Amino acid sequence: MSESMVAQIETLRGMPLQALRTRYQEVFGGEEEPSFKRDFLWRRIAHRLQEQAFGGLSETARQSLDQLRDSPHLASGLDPVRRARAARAGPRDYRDRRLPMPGRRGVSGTATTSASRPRSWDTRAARSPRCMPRSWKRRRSPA
Amino acid sequence: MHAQELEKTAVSCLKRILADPQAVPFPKVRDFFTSDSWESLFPMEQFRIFRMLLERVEYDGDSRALSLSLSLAGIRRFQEELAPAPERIPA
Repeated sequence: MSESMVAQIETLRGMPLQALRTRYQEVFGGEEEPSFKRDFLWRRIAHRLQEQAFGGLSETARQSLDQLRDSPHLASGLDPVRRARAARAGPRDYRDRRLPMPGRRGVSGTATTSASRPRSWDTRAARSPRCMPRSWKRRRSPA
Repeated sequence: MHAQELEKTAVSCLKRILADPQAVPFPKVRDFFTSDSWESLFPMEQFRIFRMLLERVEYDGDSRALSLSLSLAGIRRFQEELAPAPERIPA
């Protein structure tokens, strides 16, 4: 009677490193083992044995993996999910929100719009006329 | 409770029971469930073993209680499966 899969895996788990390396080369057709770690080797061999016994990936799954491997997302080192999330969020803004937008003049100028101006500026300007743009002062002065 | 969640809970309960030396007096089975061997199995093999070890799973939605009935014959069979095959004598 042939040994069951679980028994084979249990045997692998108890094997010394040298025996695992030999077994790896048997199972993978003489291929050099990529790592000398025991844990890695027995799991890799167990996976391969199960793949041979129960069948590996389906053709569709294999094609999907091939596409994923060739996709630019992996080349850039960012997985597609994170990439999509980053695209939805837009470019990250490291700018200090209290500062005026680039290309606009600051507090003393007249080009700052309410859209780019935090609300706190208005209250500060109301308290201290020195912080207030000239156009605002004109607007505030009684007719 | 979703079926998937229920299944996950049942598996974790089963693993906990089988890893307990007082609950199951089968050292090989216990060793299998306390090691990483279970995680290294393909899902279909896990399913087969799960079916072998369990006789019945009951979930009471009102009390949110899960009860597992283990199959003693299944555990014995699994213990036998875990035993390595005798060394072949070269001709």
